[in-house]
Amino acid sequence: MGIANPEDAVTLATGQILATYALRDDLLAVLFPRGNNLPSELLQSRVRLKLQALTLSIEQALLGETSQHAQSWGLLSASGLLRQPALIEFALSRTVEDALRTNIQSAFGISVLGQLPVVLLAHENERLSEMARKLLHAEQMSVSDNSQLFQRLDSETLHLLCWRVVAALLEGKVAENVELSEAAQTLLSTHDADLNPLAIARKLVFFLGQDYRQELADPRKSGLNLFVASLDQDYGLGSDFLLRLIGSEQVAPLLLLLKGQSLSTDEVAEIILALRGNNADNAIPDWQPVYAALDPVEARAAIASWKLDAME
Amino acid sequence: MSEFQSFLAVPIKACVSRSGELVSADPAIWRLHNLAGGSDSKTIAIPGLAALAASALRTRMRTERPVRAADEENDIELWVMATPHSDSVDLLITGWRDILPPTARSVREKSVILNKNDSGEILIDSEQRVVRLPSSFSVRGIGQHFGSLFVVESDARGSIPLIDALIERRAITQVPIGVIGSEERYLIDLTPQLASDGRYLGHVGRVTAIADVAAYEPSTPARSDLPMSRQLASVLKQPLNRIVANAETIGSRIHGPLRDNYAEYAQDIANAARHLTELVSDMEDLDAIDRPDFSAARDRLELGDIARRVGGLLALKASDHGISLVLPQETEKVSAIGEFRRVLQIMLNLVGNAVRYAPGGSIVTISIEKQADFAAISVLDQGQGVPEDDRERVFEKFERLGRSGDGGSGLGLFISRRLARAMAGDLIVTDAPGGGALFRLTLPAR
Repeated sequence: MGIANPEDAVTLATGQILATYALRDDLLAVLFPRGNNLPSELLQSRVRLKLQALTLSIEQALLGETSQHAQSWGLLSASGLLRQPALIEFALSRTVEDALRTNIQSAFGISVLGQLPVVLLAHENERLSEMARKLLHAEQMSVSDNSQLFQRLDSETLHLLCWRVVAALLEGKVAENVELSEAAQTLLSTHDADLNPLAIARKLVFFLGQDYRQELADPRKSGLNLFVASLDQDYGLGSDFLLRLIGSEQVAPLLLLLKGQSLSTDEVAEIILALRGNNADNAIPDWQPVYAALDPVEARAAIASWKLDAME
Repeated sequence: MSEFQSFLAVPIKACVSRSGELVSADPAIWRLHNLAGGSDSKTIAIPGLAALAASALRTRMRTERPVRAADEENDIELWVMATPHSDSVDLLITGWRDILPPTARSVREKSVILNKNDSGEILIDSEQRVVRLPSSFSVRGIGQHFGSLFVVESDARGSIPLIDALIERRAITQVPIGVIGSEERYLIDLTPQLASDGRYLGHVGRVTAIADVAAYEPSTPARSDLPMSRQLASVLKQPLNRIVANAETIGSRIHGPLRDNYAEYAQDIANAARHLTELVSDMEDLDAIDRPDFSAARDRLELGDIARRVGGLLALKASDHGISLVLPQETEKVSAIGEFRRVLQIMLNLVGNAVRYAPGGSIVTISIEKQADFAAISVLDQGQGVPEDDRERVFEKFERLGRSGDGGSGLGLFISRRLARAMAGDLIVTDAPGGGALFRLTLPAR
C-alpha cells in the first residue's frame, strides 16, 4: 500500500467510507428514483410553506383581496384535503426548483434564465420569438410573484384545488356561495398555461424541433426551464418529476439522464457543477469511469423503467 | 411529414363528443384514428387525444399540451389545444412532428425481436409508450409507442379489443397481436394499473409467443427485473471488492504499525463496503424473484441442520453484540421441502436482524417444529418486538420502521417473504413469548 504516514490512512479511510455510502445511495436512487428520497424535516417545512402560498394565491384570485393569510388553510390542512399526491408533488417540485435556482446563482452569479430564451427573442419566426418572450415573462413572474403560483398548476390539479378552497371558504362563511362559484368559474376559464414557465418552455421546445438541440442539453445555456422541458420531451417523465430527479441529493439519476443524451464526460462534469452549484460533495465519487461504462441505449431503457415505481 | 416540420401552416381540427366519439375531424386525424383501429363514429382510437378531451370536459377548462400517437411505423407528437363545450370538445392541432428515438435513428431495423418464440412481461405507460419488453426483444423498443411496435387485430365484430381496452382502461386477456416487421405472433394479456389516488398509470401484462401457447397460463403480472441493475452490479462489484481488500490490508497492519483507532477506521470501511456488496446482491435477488419464470428448487431439507449452520455463521457477530444464540439440539430434526440456499439466505437475514436489533445481553433463539402439513423454523428475540399494526408493513420494500443508520437496506424481509412464498411457504411475524419478535418461516413438510 505504501502508506508512510498514519494520517494518510485516515484520509484514505474517510474517503472510502464516504465513497461506499454515496455509491449505495446512488445505486438506490437509480433503481428506485421515486422511492428513495425521504424528505428531511427542513424540506417538509418548505413544502408546507409552498402549499400555504399556493392556497393563498388561489384565495386572493377568488376574493380579490391581498390578505397575507389563507383563510381556508386551517380547514384544508386539518381535513387532509391537501394530502393529494399531485399537490404534494407540485409543492415539492417548486421547493426543489427554488434550491436549484439558488445553486446556479451562487455558483456562477448569473441568472438562472440562461441565454437561449434571450437569443430566441430575435428569432426570425415570430411565433417562436413570442413564445420566448412569454417564457421570460413567466420566469420573472414565477420568481418574483407568489400571487400567481396557482397558474403553475396543470388544469386538472388547479380544478381540484380551486373547488376545495371554495368549499373551505364557504364552510368558514368567508363569502357567499354565488359569488365564490362565479369567481371560481372565472379563475378556471381564464387559466393561462403561458404563465407557467415549464409549460411554455415545453411548448417552445416542441416547436423548435431539432434546432438548438445542443444548447437545450446544456442548462447553463438553455436555463433550467428549457433544459427540463427538453428532457421531458425526450423521456416523457414529466417536468416536475425530472426537476426532483435533477435536484435529488443523489447525482446518479442525473447521470443517467445525461448519458441518455449521449453527452461527453467533460460536458457532464460542467453540467453537474452548474446544477448542483458548489455543493458537489455528494456527487458519485470517481463517477467518471461509471459514466463512461454506461451505454446510452441501456441508460434510456433504465430511464423508461423509472415509470415502474409509479406503477407498483 | 418531416421531423423538422413542427408548425402546421393550417391547424388541424377535430371534435369529440362527451361520450368520447370522434364526431368530426380533418382527414389527417381520421387517418390516425383508422390507423389506430378506429372506425367511423366510434370511440376515438387515439388514446392521448381521448384522454385530453376527457380531461377538458371534466374540468371545463381549456387545456393545451403535447400528445403522442402512433403513425404507421413512427411515433408522432402533436401540439393540441382542447376547448370544452357543454357536450363536446374542440381539438385544435397546431404542431405535428415525427419522433424517432435517438437509439433507433442510426440503425432502424424492421423488427425489434431478438429471439423468436419467447415470452415475457410488458408494461405500457399512460401514453401507450412501451416501458418494458420481454428480454427477447431489443431494448430499442423501449420508449416507443405501442402502436409502432405491434400490429393489433380486429375481432369478428370489427372492433379492436386491444385499443378499446387501452382507451377505456380495462383489462384484456389472450388477445392476438403481431410484431411490425416480423412474422411472429403473440397473445397479450394486460391489466390497468391505477395509483392510490385513482390516476391511470398504464397497463401491465404479458406477451406469449404463439408457439409457446400450450405452456401459457395467465398469471398475475409481477414486476420483474430492472434492466440496469445487473449492469450496475457488474460495474460496482469489482471496485467494492477492491475497497474491501484495501481496507483489510490497512487494518491488518501488514505495512507496519498503526494506531488502534486507525485500524478500526479501516474495519469500518471494510464493513461499509461489505454492506454495499450485500445490497448489490439484494438487487440481483430482486431481479431473480421478480422474474415471471422464477421458481425455487424442491430439495429435501433438515431444518435443525440449517439452524445450526446459521448459528455457526453468525456466532461471532452475535458475540460482538453481547448476544447469546440458542440453537436446536443435534437430536432435533424436522424435515421440509425447499431450496437449501434460499432457506439459508432467509435465516441469515432473520437471525442477522435479531442480532442487530436485540439489546445486548439478550438471547436469540432458533427453534424448529413440525405440524400437520408444514414444517416451521422460527427466530425469537428479546427486543422491542414489532407492533401489530406494522406486522405486514415490515415486509414491504424499503420499510425500515423508522430505523436508519444501522446498515440495513429495508430489502431483506421483502426478499425473504417472496422467497418463502416461492417455496410454497410463508414468513410471518408475531409476538415472542415474554416479549420480543418471533419470525416464523413455514415450508411444506416432507
